[in-house]
Order: sequence, then structure tokens, then C-alpha cells
Amino acid sequence: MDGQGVDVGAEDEFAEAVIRVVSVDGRDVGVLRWRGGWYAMRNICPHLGAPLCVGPLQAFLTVDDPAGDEIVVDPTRPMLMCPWHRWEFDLSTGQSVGGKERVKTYPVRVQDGRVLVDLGARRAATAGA
Amino acid sequence: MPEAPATPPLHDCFVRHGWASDAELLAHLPAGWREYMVLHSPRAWHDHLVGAGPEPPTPLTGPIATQPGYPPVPQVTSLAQLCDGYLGPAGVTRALLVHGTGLHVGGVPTVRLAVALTRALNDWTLERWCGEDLRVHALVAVCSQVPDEAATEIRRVGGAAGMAGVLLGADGVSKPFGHPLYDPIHRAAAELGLPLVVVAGGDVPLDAGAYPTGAGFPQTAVEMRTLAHQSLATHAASFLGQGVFARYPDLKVLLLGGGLGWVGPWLWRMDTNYRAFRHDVLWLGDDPPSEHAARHLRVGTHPFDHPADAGDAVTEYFALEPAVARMACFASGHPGAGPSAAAALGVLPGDWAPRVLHGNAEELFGWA
Amino acid sequence: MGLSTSRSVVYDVDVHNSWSSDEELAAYLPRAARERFATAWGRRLPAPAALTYSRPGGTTDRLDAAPPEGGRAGSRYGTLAAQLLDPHGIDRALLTFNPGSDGARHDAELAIDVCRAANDWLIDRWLDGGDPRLYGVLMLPTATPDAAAAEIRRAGGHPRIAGALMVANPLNRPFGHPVYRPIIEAVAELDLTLVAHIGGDLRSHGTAFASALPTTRADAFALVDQPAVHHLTSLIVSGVFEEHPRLRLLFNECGYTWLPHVFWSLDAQHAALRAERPRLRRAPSDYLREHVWLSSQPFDSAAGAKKVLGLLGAFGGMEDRLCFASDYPHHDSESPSQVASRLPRSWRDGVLAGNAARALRWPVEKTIVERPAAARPVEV
Repeated sequence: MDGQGVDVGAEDEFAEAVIRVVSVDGRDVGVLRWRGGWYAMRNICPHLGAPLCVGPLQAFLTVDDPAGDEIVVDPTRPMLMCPWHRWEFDLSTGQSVGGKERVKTYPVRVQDGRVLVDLGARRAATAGA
Repeated sequence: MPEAPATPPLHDCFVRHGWASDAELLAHLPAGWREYMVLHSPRAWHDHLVGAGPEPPTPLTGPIATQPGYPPVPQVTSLAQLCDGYLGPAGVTRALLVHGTGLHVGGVPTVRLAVALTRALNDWTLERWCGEDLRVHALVAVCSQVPDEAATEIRRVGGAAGMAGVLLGADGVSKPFGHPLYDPIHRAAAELGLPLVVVAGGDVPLDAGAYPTGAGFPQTAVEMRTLAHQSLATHAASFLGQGVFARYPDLKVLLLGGGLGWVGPWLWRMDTNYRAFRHDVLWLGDDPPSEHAARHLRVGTHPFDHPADAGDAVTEYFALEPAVARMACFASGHPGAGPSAAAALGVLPGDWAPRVLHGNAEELFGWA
Repeated sequence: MGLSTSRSVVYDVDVHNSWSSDEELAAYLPRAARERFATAWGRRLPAPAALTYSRPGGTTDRLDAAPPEGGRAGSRYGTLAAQLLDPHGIDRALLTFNPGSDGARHDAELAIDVCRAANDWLIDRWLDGGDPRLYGVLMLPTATPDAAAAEIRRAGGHPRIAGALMVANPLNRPFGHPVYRPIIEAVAELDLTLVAHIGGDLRSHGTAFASALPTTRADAFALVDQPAVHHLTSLIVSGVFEEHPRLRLLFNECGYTWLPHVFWSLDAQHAALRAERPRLRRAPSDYLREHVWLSSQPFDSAAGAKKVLGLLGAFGGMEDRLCFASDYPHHDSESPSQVASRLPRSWRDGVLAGNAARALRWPVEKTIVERPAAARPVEV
């Protein structure tokens, strides 16, 4: 880890709750600003390779009381649904719901108004939208 | 005297019992409904029942639900016939009576009559079948068209000696049995610790408004038997999908009359679809449907049809899905053409025997 | 991911194409029917989202399949070729409509006109459009079997028409019911393949599930094969394969994991069946193995390839019966390499092309596609 990250754009270029796909060293990476947090994920579904970021993005839905009738919204957990098989991925961890598959996620930080995605060891030098 | 070698218990979860003559049931109806039924009986029996004629030579059949065009369901008609003709010779240690014709009584479209008939049916079962031979267990029949009435009936007789569960036969309103409409039935059964028992074929009566198979009424009796599992799958999926077991964590459901073969592939499909349609079934929580099924659903082995030369292949087939071993209960379908315990065990994987022959049924009904 | 199938011959037996708007189809209708078709009652009964099962993403199609220029998924040749035919090396694709149940609409008289228009549209826009990979099936007004048979004889002679489509269930009868004999006879007469497909049963107000309506899409989707299984047993026990020894049935998107238990049961009851249907000389599974093919869709991914193959192995193998289907653009569509990667090597050629070739009376050969975009069908 280099601690730097790849600059993928200015903070104000990222609208709330909209995934913006950027190309970083040949890799398509989705970057998301969601309720004060930042998320980045590979734009490839680990199941069969679908363009994951085309899918709908929504807060995690669950139930508090399995014997009740109400659906509870957990706005702290952005979930991305694959546009093909409709599997869901928790963007906080990359983990799919109900399965072992995990989408690659990356740490994101904002520094001096710039959004930096940490791609890890295979750090890329350039980024383009 | 040396002890005889212990024979493993053999619990049969599917024996059809019925009445020889409708007159048996009439005796258990309240006076008004009895007179109503007499009025709707064939003339010779009518005259006999009002004291104006001799007993006709043929049994009374007709006022109570029958199925035109279908052969009568084979059923044992007396406790002696059951015990001496089957339980003793076959070495059956427990038998669950699930009704033959009686399966459809709760679906009689004249709904007040259906309620009265199911009460009479349960009193008849208790009087004629229960209490005398401890091997014999029975089910509370209900009129599922009116779930509150059904719950009342479950509470009325569900605690009686010999009653082991609640029978969901005729589906009077064409909703799958996991639908919240039936919550009063789920609740009453759970309160009394009684499993629900769904029997394929309950959808045949005219009032059900649905067909027993996926593409309209089957053209042949063979297809009716081969596809009987489809009805059970619809009901079973609804119990899972509606989260009934989240509301009633101890409730169990026994599915009879569709055999075992459908269960494995159906679990695979349920689990596959769970990942795409989780938001429909949030009540299942993190566990896939197959785990809920293994905990709460039990399935009878009847009918157990396969070609004589396919035994090894059938063994191989069942071994693919071990979850089914937790669910399978020996069910003969006696006196219909069903498997003997030996026939079923001949092809099920070898280590399934203790569960299938008695273990799963013991857990389900508390038959220690 | 998967393995390369670029050098294999690949035939895809289930590709769902669609008109991009009702106006596009209306151009093929006679004037009187066009006016009728434009009314609310003449269209399919609109089903608001609240009146049917909900669909994550608002559709059962792949969410990336919507053409950039607008219209329904599967409605534009360019998108379909770019997403399916070109990248996956499909040599022949059987176009099966999305949905094919338009022929089962409630107005049975209009349905006859709609089917003629749909088939003319199919031939004009897709089959005669210059891409040699495209083949099709005829949409049928199944509620009026005589009219359906007439439509098969009218349009079934086109060289790119490979079959006639039975889908939905407006008469609420299994497909082996004698009422459908005119359709079977016409298919046999033209030596086409009878292509059956799941779906549309509810929309056509037919039975879709045994006993009752499931309460969620999650349980409904797990039961969606029920009508198909019943249609198949019905066709087999009806004796149509005795009457028409060359008749071929391709059943699409109904899965296949139910085959062992259903056919073991039927075979075990062969004697009882002969009492009901004396013309059935052979065991039901014999007809299956000689006359019936099934598409590879859907795959029960939760089970995994090992269990599914184990199941088929216990049944004596299905390597000569399964046909690759992408099921494009449905949400669970698969590529040929994905399907091939979970099959034993000895099954691959058959499943990818050989079985479809026998089901559809095709040779097994690579299709040479001219690359210039101008050779592609005209987009509207």
C-alpha cells in the first residue's frame, strides 16, 4: 500500500448516491459518495462478469422482527444489485448476500478536495473518467 | 427367557382411513344437520333414516363429498381391519391416519355444512379409531375455508388422546397454505404443538378453483399421480416465502402424497431464486430456504415409483441431496399401492434408514 | 472465466427478440386490426406493477440489455448482435420472441391477426435482414388451434423458420389435449420443430401453478416449471410421438432437474398408462430420449454443477438432449462458455450445437458472417 491512492476526480464531481465509473489503469472502478462515506468497487460481478455498476443502488433492506410485517431500511449500508442475476453486494465489504462471492472493493479517501482510490500494490499511475 | 432381538420401530405416516357408510358420520352430526343430510340422501336411505323403511343393502354414499369421475380412494374402514390386516403383519409400530374421502370434507362448498361435517368427522375418528390401540394416531380435520372456525376446532379436539396433528386437505379458497389468511390455523397448531399435514389431492373438489397440476386438469390418472408433488411444492414454497416459521419457530409441516423425488431439485431452485428475490422473503433472514425447509418441512415417501431396474440410479440420485434425509418419513399410503418399508429402504441411501423408518417421525410427532 | 468456445460451433436455441414499440408491429397489421390493436382493450391487458409479482430492477431482463437508442430489451439487432452473437461466437440463434405469449392475448380474434403480423415482422426485420445466423419460430394463436395451424401452413415454409411456438395457456389445457391436434399435425406436416416455452400462463388467464397462486416471486420462480412439466408429460402420454414418428419437441427454459423423478414415475406406471392410453407402445422415457430436447436454462446455481451433473448422470445422462440456450436478454442469461465450463468434455459439442442441430434439422457448421456493418439489417 502506498498510502497515496489514484486521483479519480474532484470531490464535487461526485453526486450523492450515483456510482461514477472511472477507468484506472485499464480497470473499470465504480466510485460512490453515500451519506458522508466513500466507496469504490470493481465494475465486474464476481459471479459471471456482468457490468455491476449498471445495477440499481439502494440502502440495505432487512427486517427487525422476522415474525412481523415491516421492512426496515438501513441507510448506512449501500447495496448494489447485479444487472444480470440480481445478486446483491454490500459495498462496505464487497460481500454478496446469501453467497460466498465478493466484489473487489477499494479504500477511498478525500484529500484537498480530490478523491483518491487506493488500488493496492498494483498501483495505477493514471486515471480517466 | 432370552430377549428377542430388538426390531427397529417402523412408523408409517400415511394410512388412509374412512367410513364404510355415510351413516357412520351422520350419527355424529347435530340433530339439525343430521336431518338436513337425511333429506339429501338417496330415497331408500332417507326412508330408512326417518324410520320408514328397512336398511338398504348397499352403504350410504352420496350426501358427503364424492368425486365424480374418479375412482374411490382405497381406505381402511375399521380399526380391526387396520390392526389385524396391516399393522400387525407389516410390523408397523405407529400409524398416522390421514383420511381417504374425509380429506375433502372441509372443502364442501356449503360452508356451514363443511364446518359441521369436519366436527362430526373428528368425533367419528376419536370414537372409532383413537384410544384403543396406542399405535394408532390421527389428525384434526379442519374446514380451511373459514380459518377461525378451523382454529376453534383444533383447540376443541387437538388435545385429545391420539390426535397427532392438523390435516390440511381440501384447499377451500385457492390460496396456498402458507398464506396469512390461514394464520389462525398456523397459530392454533403451534400453540398445541401439533404439526400441519398437507396431503396432495386436496385440490380436486370443484370448489377449490384451482387445478392439481401446473397446466390445467391432468388427462390421465397416471399423470395425476406423477405430478402430485406440484401441489405440495406450491404449498411448501408458500410456508417458506411467507415466513410462517419465523412466526411459529416450532411449527412443522408434513407433506404427503407427492413422494420424495421432487424435494432435492426443488430445494436447489428455491435457494437459487432466494439470491435474486431476497426482498420478497426477507423474513427468512440469512439462511437460505433449504435450511428452513430441512428444519421445518417433512415429506412422506409415498408414492415411490421407479422402474424395477433403476434401483442403483435412484440411490445415487437421493444421495445427491442429504437435506432430504432429514425430511423423509416412511409413508405407505396403505391401502393404496404404496411402497413397503423394505422397498423404500432398498433404494434410499443406506444410512437414511433410522431417520426414514422412525427417527424423523419420532421427532415430528413426539413419538419416542 | 469459463473456457473459450470460439472454435466450437455454437447454436443458441432461445434468444428473445422483440419489437421496439407497438407501433413497429402495428405496421404489419391489416388496417382494421391496427385500429383495434391501438385501443387499450386490444393491447394486452395492462398489468400494473401492483397486480403482478414485483421484479427487482423493474424487469426480468438484463438491465444492461436496453438498447441505447431506446425500445425494449431484445428489440434492436445491433445491441443483440453486439451483446450476444458477436462476442460469444453464436453460429445460429433461434429467435423466440419476448414475450411469445402475445399470441395468447384475451381477444382471440385479434390474436390471429397479431400472430400473422408478428411472423411477417420476424421474417422481414430479422430473418431476411442479411445476418445468416438468425432463425426463428412462428408465434401462434394457441386459443384457436385451427387458425394456428393455418398460420403454420402460411408462414412455416420460409427457410429460416425452424419451428412453431407453444407458450402460455389460454385454453387452460395441457398441450397434449386433443384440442391442440391441428397444431401438432401442421407442425408435423411441414417437418418443423414444436418449440414450447415456459411463461405467459398467468397473463393468458391459464393455470400457471398447481393448486394456488404463489404469494411472492421468490416462490413463484421456484415453481415456474410446473406447467412445462405437465405440458411435457401430457404431450408424451397423448401419443403424438406414436402418431408422428418424426415429430420433434424442443422445450425451452423449463430446467431439467425434474426429469429423473418425473420419468421414473411415468415409466414405473407404464402398464397403468397403457390401460389409459393403449397407443403408447413404449415407455414414456423412450419418447423423451428420441423426440424431446431441453434447453440449458435455467441453471440451478445454488446446487452447483457437481450435483446437477450427478443428477443427470443418475438418469443415464442427457448429453444428447440438452441444448445450449443463452436465454438472452433475460436476467439469468448465460454464455456458451459458462455452460460449457461445467459440462464434461464429452458433452460439450452436443450441448453447444449437435443436439440443437438434430432438434431443428440443421447441419453442424460454422457460420461465416460478413463483417461490414452495412450487411446488417436496417435499423428503424
